[in-house]
Amino acid sequence: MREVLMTGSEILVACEKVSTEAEVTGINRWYKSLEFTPVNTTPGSGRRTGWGLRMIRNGKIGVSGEWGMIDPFRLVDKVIGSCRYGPAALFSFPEESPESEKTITDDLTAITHDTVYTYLNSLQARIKEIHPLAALSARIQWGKDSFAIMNSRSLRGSYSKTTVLTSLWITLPSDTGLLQSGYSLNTTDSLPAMNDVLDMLLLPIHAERFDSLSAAGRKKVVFSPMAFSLLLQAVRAGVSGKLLGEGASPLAGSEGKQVLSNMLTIRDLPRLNSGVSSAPFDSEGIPTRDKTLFEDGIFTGFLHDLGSAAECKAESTGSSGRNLGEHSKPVCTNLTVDPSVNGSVNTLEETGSGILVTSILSAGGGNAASGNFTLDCGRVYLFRRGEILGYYDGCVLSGNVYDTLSRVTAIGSRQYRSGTDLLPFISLDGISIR
Amino acid sequence: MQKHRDLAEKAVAGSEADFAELRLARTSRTTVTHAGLTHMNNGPIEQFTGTARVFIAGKWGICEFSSPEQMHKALDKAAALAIHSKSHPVPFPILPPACRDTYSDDVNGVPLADVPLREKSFLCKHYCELLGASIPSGSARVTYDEIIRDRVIANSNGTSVREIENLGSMKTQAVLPGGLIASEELALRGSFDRFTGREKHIAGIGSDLLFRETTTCIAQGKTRVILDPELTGILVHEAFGHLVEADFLENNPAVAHLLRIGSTVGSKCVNIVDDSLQMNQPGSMKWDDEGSPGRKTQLVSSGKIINWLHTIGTASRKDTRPTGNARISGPGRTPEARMTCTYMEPGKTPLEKLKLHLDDGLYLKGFMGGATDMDRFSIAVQEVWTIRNGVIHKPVTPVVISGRVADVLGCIVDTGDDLQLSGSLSGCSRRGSSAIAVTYGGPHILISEMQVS
Repeated sequence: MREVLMTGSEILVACEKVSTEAEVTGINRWYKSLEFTPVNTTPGSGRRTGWGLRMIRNGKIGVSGEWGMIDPFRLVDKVIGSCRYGPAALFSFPEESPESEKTITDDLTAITHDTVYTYLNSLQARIKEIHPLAALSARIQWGKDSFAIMNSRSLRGSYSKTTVLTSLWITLPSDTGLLQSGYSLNTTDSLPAMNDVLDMLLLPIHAERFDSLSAAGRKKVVFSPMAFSLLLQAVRAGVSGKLLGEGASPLAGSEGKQVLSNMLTIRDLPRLNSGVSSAPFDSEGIPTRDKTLFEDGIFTGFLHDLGSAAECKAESTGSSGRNLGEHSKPVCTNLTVDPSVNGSVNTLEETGSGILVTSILSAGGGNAASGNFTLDCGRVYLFRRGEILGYYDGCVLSGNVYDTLSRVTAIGSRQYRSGTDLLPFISLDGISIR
Repeated sequence: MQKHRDLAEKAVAGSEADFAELRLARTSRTTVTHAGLTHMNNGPIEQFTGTARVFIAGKWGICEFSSPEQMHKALDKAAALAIHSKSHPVPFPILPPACRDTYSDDVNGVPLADVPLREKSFLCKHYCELLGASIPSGSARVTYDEIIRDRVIANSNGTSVREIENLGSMKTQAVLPGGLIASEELALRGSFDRFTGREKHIAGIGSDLLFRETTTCIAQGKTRVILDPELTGILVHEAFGHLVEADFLENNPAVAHLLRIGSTVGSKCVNIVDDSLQMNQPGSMKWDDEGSPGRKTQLVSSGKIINWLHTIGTASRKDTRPTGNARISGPGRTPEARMTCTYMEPGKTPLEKLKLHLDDGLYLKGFMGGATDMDRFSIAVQEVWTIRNGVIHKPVTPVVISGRVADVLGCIVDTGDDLQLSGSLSGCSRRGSSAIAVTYGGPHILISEMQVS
């Protein structure tokens, strides 16, 4: 990290005479990886370092970044060019340095390729006990990310954290066609719990095929945590102060009002223990804090970075996110939905009859500005009295996410990781099915 | 980059591994977006990446590095990982003949990188205003995306190739208040010229969208359809192409048996190729990410599978030759067998005759999104028109088509004479892998039975 900080200081010096304000971010990442298939397994490792520069010049903001080899003057030159076409600078970079932090899980840094290989072999064996023809493929990457920020107003901050990024998928040949199931989850402390992985990977079910017409109309729909995560995309966009600043947020004027079902409490938790998006400060150096976005369905407020806060005359909520060399925007970090206290894990029993959505093929046709969604689900499962009866293919769900989330039938009693989210199963009423 | 290439050649030649390979890439990416009154440009973001891959005693090891000075160390690290790997041994890869060559897009016109950001920003703004003016009540967005990549692949077999790619894309999107969307992407490889002078076309997108605004729905069910060349390409890519990627098949013996060489997957008029040498297309590659030369591979001939897509590793395990389809989705990743420019070959029937042949049914045009889940696919269609007595009748609301690949390819009764290719800089993603640039296409095709929802 010392190298990143030293280069960062050099870049700031190079900016002194050509900018009003400048800010450098640096990332240092090292990892080990294992690519696992039934035929071949490849161990890997790697290291990557990058620098991002954001500058205010002639009242406008420009950005650029470099991964790998860095030339401070070349980087500054590119940002000068970017400033000419950048957005107006409505704010100053912060002065106060945030607290630096280290969240290193020693157990994780000690994990070897052999440990991961053994873990995946055991997982494969357990899957084969249930489905002898199932083939498991996986990529697990684990390591340490270090992040530093410094700006020309003396702000300095850094943190490090361990990460485990897991992608698993299985294929199951069956009489009714080929089934595929995938599960991705990211944590900071350990390899994923095997039972959770099995719960999610084995959601597709061998069942009888149903005539597609029998499922059309408006029905109760149970979303698995992975499918629920995709449904929440529109909410992630809706709570962004950037959309509010552009006059396009469907939640404008809804603060303090009942927007969703009173069964729903949605939080953004940048301080979540073992959340891979957790950080002590955001990508502009503003300290993060956990936020409740919807408390019992009542919308509590927007997420802001410095830019959207200035535009909306609000304060930054420490929610700036960006890839290296890109403009900042307010983003959700670890999104969570509170589980129910009572009830089943998958809500099928409470729901009674309906369809279960375990994965979504694509979410084309969605509109963040209105909350409208069209989810192409591929195969869905029909259930009655809590029992799976069969499946049908080619299911498309459509509706408006705010309208849909105001009609919650049941929420599962436990949360699962899905990407960076922590979500339960959820049962929703009256979704249009084609 | 030439200096680094020389170093890489020496490093792999000095390696004591059974096989050693270095991939180096310098990439610059710029994005410009104009939407309403908002203008945003990200980048250019420059990236140097290196990957060392080593094969020792039947096992692979891989190591990513971020500076050319680290390439020797990375080769050593990859070798150590291979030696200590617990993986089952696999056969030695089948390597194409050694090749030393360079290819650059720069020779084919004004390179994208030579066009100032000012001009790219102006063009986005100009097109966005034109599009916005054509749909006063709706919203318009234009995004320009550019990837300039200089990549080198050197291996211990004596191959050292360098390819300089100029990939550009312009996406236009118009949305009416009711949610009706018109979206298209022009993606290319080579010069900037093809992005300019499109005013008439851009303005036409808005007026076409207004004309299509309707509340008329069609009943879901199975019907006769004509797909436009873009949808034909999507069908070929999503519903068929992913299933003949050899690394997927070798992990799934049951599927591999269904799709074995010689098996029938479509009607007699179905001919499908993967041609990585369409050098003005974003999916093209003179050499793949293992240094194998690009080529045209016939995948389906008269409805029968005759080839799969291979890397050097999968080819050796199937005792065949690599097809030049090894592609990486990022540094530090093992090359996978992926598509490049995949399309259905045209037939001889003009579109007007296809419509007469269809008689009553639907004309489906433009792609909105979709995916494949093994042998099932699902594609959201942008424009839907009814056809009555062989003549385009009226627009109806967008639909989703779905089905199983063998069913649909078997129902293709005629193919048009009008091959068109489309592409995207991030058009293809596979589970666990990042998106890569691909090209897809075909002619208009007539399908006797398609599930429409």
